[in-house]
Amino acid sequence: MDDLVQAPLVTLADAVELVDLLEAGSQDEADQKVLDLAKKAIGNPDYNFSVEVYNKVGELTRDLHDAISDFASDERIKTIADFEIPDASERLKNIISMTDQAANRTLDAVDACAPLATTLMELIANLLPAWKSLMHGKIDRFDFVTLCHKIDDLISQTQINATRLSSQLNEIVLAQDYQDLTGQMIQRVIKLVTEVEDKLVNFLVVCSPNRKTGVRPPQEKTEHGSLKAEGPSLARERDSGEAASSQGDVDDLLASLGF
Amino acid sequence: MDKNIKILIVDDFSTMRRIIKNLLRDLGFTNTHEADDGATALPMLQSGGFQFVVTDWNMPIMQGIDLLKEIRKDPKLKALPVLMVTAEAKREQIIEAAKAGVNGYIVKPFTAATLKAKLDKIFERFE
Repeated sequence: MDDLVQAPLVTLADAVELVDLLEAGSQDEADQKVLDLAKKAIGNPDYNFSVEVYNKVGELTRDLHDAISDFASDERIKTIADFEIPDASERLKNIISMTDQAANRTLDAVDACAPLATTLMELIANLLPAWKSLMHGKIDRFDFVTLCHKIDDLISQTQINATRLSSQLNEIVLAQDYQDLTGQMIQRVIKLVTEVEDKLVNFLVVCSPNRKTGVRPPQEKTEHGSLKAEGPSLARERDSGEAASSQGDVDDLLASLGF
Repeated sequence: MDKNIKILIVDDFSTMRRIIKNLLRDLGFTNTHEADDGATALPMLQSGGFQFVVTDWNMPIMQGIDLLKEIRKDPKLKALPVLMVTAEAKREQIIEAAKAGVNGYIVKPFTAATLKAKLDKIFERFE
């Protein structure tokens, strides 16, 4: 590169002339002057950089062309775009509806159990005064007979309700099968996302050999200018302190704001 | 505390509305109504009668944070207590909600005890 300094690319005289032309408003002539200077530099055998530049541009163009045609002709990418991405969307939609069904099934079972507990509490409350009298040995014959009938009621009612309770608990257990099924679907989607990511990264590496890891863009805003919701936080965000990791953290933060 | 107050539960997932409704019922609050996003909730609130709002943040059309800001802007609604129950846990989000005038902030997943504690705290301030 030492030979680059042998003859200057531009002289003071050139610069003055260029300024004069621009000040005089002769834009066309000024443009011509710049072109002449550039031509002189490219035509000068002392300056071989132009060849290097042309070679580099050519090399990049070929790489880019190869990368695009590899990407476009990759059968795998076609399958992914035509079938696997739509399938993945379908799977994710399925997951939403399966978790929805499971949650409702569980809540239905809980709703069915709640009155059983209420009935039990009422039956016990109803016989408790007479029962206490009996335990303290202060019960007359008439009250004792009434108490026996109440206990009989409690036994038969509870026997039926315990069977119902047990079947509802079983229902709650069965409703948890969604975890296994949705887990399998999510794993397939993760596999696909990873594969697409790898292909995109390969493509980016060719296009930009010095590519650095990107900087996360700032959080998006809604049309009203508020921060956009992002859903549940990630472990990475909780570990870095960017997101609260418990209700205690949230309370502490609000307290520090004078809440 | 008046257990008959009219409460609006705003969440786009019906199961979460159901869970909150059940928890509130267990705490004695039975006068609950539901909306599935801020845009549906706002006209319901404006038509009057509500004394408390429990809202999610992440919802389509109008998010909970924007609903909160709309409530605080409305001269008739601005004093309405709003409890946010959300999975959003970023510090800047919690700060934004606090600045917008939220009365309580619960992160999902949450417990019945947390809900009760926050409700008690809010009503204590309003009584």
